[in-house]
Amino acid sequence: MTARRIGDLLDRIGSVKSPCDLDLLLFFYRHPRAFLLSDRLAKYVGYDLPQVAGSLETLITAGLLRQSPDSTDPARLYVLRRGSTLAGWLSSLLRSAATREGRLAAIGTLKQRQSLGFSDGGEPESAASARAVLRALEGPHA
Amino acid sequence: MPEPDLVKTGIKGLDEVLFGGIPRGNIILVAGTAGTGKTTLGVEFVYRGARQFNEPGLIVLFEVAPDKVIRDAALFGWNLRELERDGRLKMVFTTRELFQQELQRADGQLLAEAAEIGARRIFVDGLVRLSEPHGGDPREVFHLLAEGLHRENLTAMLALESAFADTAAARAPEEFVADTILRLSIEPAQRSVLRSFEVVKSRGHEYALGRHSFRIVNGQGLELYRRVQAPRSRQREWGAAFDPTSRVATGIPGLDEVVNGGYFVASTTLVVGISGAGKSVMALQFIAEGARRGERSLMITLDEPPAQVLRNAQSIGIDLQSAIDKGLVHLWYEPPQEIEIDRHFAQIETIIEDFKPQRAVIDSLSTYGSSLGAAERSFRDFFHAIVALMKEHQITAVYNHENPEMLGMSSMMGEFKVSSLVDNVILMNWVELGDTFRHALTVAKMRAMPTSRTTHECEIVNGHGMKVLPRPVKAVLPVVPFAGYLGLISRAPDRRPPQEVPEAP
Repeated sequence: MTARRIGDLLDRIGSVKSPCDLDLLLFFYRHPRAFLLSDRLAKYVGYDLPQVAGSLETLITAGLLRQSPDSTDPARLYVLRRGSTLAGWLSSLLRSAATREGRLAAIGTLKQRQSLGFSDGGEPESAASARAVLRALEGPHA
Repeated sequence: MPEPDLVKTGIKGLDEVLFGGIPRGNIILVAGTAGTGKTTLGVEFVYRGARQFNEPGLIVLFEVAPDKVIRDAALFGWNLRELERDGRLKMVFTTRELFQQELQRADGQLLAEAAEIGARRIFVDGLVRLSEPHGGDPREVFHLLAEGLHRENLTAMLALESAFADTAAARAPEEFVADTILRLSIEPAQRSVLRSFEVVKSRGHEYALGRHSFRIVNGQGLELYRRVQAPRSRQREWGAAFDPTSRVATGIPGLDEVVNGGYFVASTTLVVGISGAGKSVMALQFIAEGARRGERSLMITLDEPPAQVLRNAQSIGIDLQSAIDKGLVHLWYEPPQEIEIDRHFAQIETIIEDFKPQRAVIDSLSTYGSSLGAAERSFRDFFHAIVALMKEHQITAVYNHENPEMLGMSSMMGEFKVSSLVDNVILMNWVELGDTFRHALTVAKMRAMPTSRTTHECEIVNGHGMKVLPRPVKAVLPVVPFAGYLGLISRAPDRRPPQEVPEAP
């Protein structure tokens, strides 16, 4: 997949803005239902806990991830909201990023965008519109 | 007595070993070293539960990513994604520590996930000694876990990794708490390996003891084969009481007269002789005679592949292919190099149950011996089992056995000590007369039938097969009483001088 195509997918998905967002999504692509403490999750993906917490918030807000409600239990159940959405842009991006080359290309694109301040409203479609599309495509068990 | 509520595994062969399944709610420990098939067993248990028995399930993983489990399951034709989509399966990735804590909470999130789909089964992959991270009595820790699962009324299968193969060191404290223990292992067999399966214990029901074999088969999953020694139906033991009036024609001209009209129905006949003595020819004629009479015959060949057997048959005027096409002959070949005997026997059982032959030939018994080890118990156990199987189904069976001695025989079966199990023994010898080896046939044993133990000449004619030649002379030598000899028991007898032979009273 070309860098241009990756950039196009990132634009369409909208909410994936940092390498940590992408790596978390990749983790949940492989582990669609994970019951973990956030510090363990941070170790699995290899980022600092604050970064992971921020990315989790982003993905949950974007409707890509569901988290079990707050309880006395410090662990959380995270469920990737797949349904039909994985057959679309997100699935294309994650399939590509599941290879070493694909992941490096996607991370390269994300870093480049971060350095250019691209995430400050530069995307062609807003996260809100992407969320709306994703929700529309979701199945009943997502 | 109430019937136990048994959970069927749906795994091929396993429910037979478990005599129907595992009591509902049992905590099942699957123990084994790496690569023994624990994960496959556990995933199949949940998959078949959801797919075949409408019992949704939960799979808990600690180290293996769910997408890999889904990928590997697809090789067996199990579509786990579909089950997930249908709400019949959930796969949760977590840590051992969290899982352990969850089961000690009445309102745990994990078990709430299971309850959401009405899970009846759970498979937990990759348990190690649960107390290891924080110390504590592992038996007590496992007991708490078992109680948590029991509270949820789940039938739980837990894969426990053992660092050691089947030794005392592999006994984990968890084993004392679990209701059912299934031990999987890989055992060396010469230069190959065999997978074996044992129900070490299982509370609340009966099961088949001992080590059974299993395979992991692409497109299918696990296939378990009961050990050949395992007792089958009582009917099989009673099968030996064969009909003493009917005879089964041998198909060899002249031989029926020598064996009082033919073999008994369901009898076991051993044909012993060196390679080339005519055993396979006799076997083919026996089969062809059955086909001529409209009887179904099974030929199990280990020495020669089917094409070669068909060609051999053609050379003695037997159109075996036509008999196969008519459904009268089933020719089954299995290369002997790596026979897994439990599986092999299970396959023969299936063929016999489906094809229902009246005659059977095994060519040859000595090849089983070479494959299993003649001195090994497994060879004798296999022979016992197959003789019983044939008798149960009232099949008249002929077994060829290669005796390595070229001229004469000092023992019927050498190190293969199973001749006591057979009803009839026919010895095929070469006799060197002039510059020619000629075929000789001696009926050495006929259970429940008189036999003269006279040696008969045979010939094999190209295009016609074997026939036993008539004996034009009744007895060449005068019958001398034992008293006319010296050293009879020493096997080197001398004739007494005629003047020393006492007069008959």
